[in-house]
Amino acid sequence: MNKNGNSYTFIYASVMVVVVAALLSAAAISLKPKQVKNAEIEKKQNILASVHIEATATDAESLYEQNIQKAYVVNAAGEEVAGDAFTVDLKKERSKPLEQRILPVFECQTPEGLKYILPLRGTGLWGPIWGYLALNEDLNTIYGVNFDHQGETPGLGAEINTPAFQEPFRGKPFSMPRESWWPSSWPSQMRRPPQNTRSTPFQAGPSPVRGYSRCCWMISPLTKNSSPGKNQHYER
Amino acid sequence: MSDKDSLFSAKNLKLLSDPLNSSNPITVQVLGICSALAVTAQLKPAIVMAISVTVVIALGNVIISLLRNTIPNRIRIIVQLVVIAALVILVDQVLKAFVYDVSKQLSVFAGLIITNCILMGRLEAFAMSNKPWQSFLDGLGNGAGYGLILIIVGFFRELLGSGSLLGFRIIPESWYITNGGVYANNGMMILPPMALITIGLIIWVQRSRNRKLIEN
Repeated sequence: MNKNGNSYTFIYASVMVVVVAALLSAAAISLKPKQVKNAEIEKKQNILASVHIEATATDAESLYEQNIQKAYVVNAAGEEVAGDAFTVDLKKERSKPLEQRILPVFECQTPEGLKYILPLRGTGLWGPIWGYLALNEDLNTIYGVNFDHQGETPGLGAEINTPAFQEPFRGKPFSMPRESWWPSSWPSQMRRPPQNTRSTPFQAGPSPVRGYSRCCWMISPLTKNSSPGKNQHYER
Repeated sequence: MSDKDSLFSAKNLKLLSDPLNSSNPITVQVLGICSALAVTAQLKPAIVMAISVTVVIALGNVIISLLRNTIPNRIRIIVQLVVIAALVILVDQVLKAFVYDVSKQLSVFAGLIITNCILMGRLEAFAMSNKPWQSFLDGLGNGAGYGLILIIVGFFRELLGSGSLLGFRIIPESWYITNGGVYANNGMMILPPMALITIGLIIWVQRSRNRKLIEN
């Protein structure tokens, strides 16, 4: 058969496409369970990291069973509703109006008391960023945080998942004087709040939900690379 | 009928060693600059990227070399592209399944290996007209040359831009201005323009040492 003829070219292209498609689908389907498991284990590691429990990929599951005693789902009014906290997809919830969202809450009993862990999700510069916020029982003081991102720049936005970025959140209360909102090591231009934002501190209350959608506010300015004077868009 | 070279004859070994210096894909062939700027802000993603690209080039070269006599001329580039894309997707899926933390390091850059000019360049220039073993060695050599430049650039960018290497602190905390010292990280080094200037400096050094590379 003539290698450069029309029919040969056509058959060759068709066979190649079918072979490659079959190969890739087979690989994707057979590897999917492992990939889903890896993502779950990483989620458990992140939840544990927000309460300062170090977990490797091998012991993450057992540490999670031991330490996270309760996981439940609340609606926008703060009432507990039915649902599996671990599998709630915050990306879908964020696209719903506030009254219709269902939000997961995890509880961990540590030697320093009961801690509430709230998953967060917001918008970074290049893609979504998410995290887990562990609050003390007073629901005003941060016990620990853990952040992660999809595609931020290494050395810049990607720093949010380093301990150096996450440690200073520890012990900070939600209602606190504006001067102490940022680490003192930052230069003064970065310590001013951006314009067009709330100038009053948050209202903390007995319901974990009230601080919830506002937590997404917290992490956005810390990763966006714009100067303090520019208009910032915040998720409410 | 061509005479068969032994597997590791001098001519074959030249395929491995040339791309490290005199025909380096980044500094001499000037291919693959984009990823050299993007992933070298830190050393660890640079190393992971170099290994992934080497694997993909070597396998891609072998596959195209095995198919080279059957590919119709009119869809030559498309076939090469399909092979590269399929390999990169496979590598990405395997990384996500077996070494999840490494794939998190690469994040979006794993898929961008498809756009790396070195792959298409080597497939078209070498694998389409050479035997599988030679193509494999050429792929390894070019991958190694690419990796060498990536590691050098990543080394300087992370050291001067963050004061660390592979995540370990190299410049002591006490030297920094915020802690009472006089040193500050060079913030420009983390941004892509400085990576381009670093590569330019490497090209300068290379051409001073090897006059033959200078174009007239």
